[in-house]
Amino acid sequence: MLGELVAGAAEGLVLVEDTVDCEGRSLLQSFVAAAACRGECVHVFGFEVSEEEFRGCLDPRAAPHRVQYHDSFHDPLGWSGVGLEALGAQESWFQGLRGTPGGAVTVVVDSLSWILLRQPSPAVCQALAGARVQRMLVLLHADLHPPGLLGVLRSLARVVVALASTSQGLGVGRGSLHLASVFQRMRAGKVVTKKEYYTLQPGFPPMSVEEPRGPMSPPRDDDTMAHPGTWLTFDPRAQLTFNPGVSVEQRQVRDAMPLPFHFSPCKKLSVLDQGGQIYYEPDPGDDLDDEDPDDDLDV
Amino acid sequence: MFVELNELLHASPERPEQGTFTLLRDTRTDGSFLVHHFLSFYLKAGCKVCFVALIQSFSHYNVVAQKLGVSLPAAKERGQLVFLEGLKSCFEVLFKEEPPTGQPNPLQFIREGGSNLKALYEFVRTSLTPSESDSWKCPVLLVDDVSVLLSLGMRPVDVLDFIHYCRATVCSQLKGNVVVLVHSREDSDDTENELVVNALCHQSNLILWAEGLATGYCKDIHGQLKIIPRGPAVLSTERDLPRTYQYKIQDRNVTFFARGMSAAVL
Repeated sequence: MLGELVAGAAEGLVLVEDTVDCEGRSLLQSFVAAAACRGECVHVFGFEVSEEEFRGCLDPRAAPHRVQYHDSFHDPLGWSGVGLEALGAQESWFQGLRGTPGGAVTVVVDSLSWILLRQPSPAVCQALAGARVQRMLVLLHADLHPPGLLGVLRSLARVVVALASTSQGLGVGRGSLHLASVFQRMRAGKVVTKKEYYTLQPGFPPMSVEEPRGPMSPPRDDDTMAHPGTWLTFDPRAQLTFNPGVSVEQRQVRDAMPLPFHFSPCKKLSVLDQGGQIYYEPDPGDDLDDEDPDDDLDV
Repeated sequence: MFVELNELLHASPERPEQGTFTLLRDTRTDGSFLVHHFLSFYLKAGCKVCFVALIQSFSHYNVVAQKLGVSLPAAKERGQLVFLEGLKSCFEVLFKEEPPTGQPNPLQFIREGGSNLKALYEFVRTSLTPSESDSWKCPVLLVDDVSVLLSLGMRPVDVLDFIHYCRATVCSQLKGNVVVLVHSREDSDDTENELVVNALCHQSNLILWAEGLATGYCKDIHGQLKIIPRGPAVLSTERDLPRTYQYKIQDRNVTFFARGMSAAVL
């Protein structure tokens, strides 16, 4: 599903939520590269990284001339006294928006958290709700904002991709595995949710996505990682050196075996005494008396 | 500088990296040994260093630097080190008249309520902008530490704006490096400090996180260090994965070892 969204199925406001443990700018850049490859005009409003750093991680095949970078990184507050204050108006992100007549336009905000920390959140939400672009991709650092604000932004978004890191050991080597929880609100009102593992390849081409199998039980074999289709046929018992299963005959024999402390009647008879006697030869010093020593008591 | 830490970071004073933002973070312990490491590392590498020292005095850093083979007075004298002693500057801001030259004190925000850190940023920019006679390698900004700015009354957004501009100028324009120390606490009620810490984590290229042991004090293991590279998700080598080591601070060195592999317990 994530691959389809990157390939152009995502429309409206697309929210990419990341955390300190799992950065989301790489996924954002893959969206940008895919949009540029499709011939769309992409406008990137960069607040957190420079244009050089943002473009440096884009796929060289992504038609860089279709990606226009609006630099709000170097002097957003006008401290240098030369640049314009980029946050003067609520709609300032759309200033300079030059879309191709009749062409598709994708607007990218990197990141929305930067704006939310400096602008009133109601105004930002209003600007997002009033945006009239085909596709708006925003990066949001989920661990910087209260849950209430995150809920409001998710309700405004058509697509929400929440990223999370996986435990160490997954995908050691070429590309790490990350978990994407995708929420998509379709035009007809249907809501689709899905959780997927994904990995980003060098150069950020359209990603290969994989589905988790079972309760977070990833394969450890490198061959399994190289062939995503083997996820569905993964059998942990294939790695064992013994066979934990039992056949039908073995199960019958096992059930028929008596338990060690379960005394069946025949076992009792074999254990109990069948008429044995005790022979005792008294020692020379023994004082044997057949009478009951308690007979003389008045109790 | 600590040789073992250089090996873990694959860093060398002969070839210092450029354009990186390194975040030093400590929890339940004192991470200032990392500040001393980077200060001596970049001075030995021949970089021009602007050190915004808000916690300790100049003599404190000098005593430690001498143990690591670096003389701070000599570095100041030859123009390699620009040292802002916060403790002395605070005194001047609060109890002395403004200088007649009109140069604002970098810490004037302490006196002016509701102001920003623009004066401090201008001090950093002026100190690190290379002149024609400079022959130093890349400029480096070192801040010890950012959490105290919140204690001095700055808002989290003001602190983040200051760091943002330092990154834009030092890392992006001047191709230098920024190293910042910040304190954090688990289950802390200080939401402003945690906001600053998380925001700086998102902006950093490398996080060195010193933590005290969860089991408490240990004579032979002073803490554990997490090395967390950040940036693009392309992880082509194992060295780009987060790693954790334990360490012991000695008089002139810090030794690092894998968890559970301390010489005292083997």
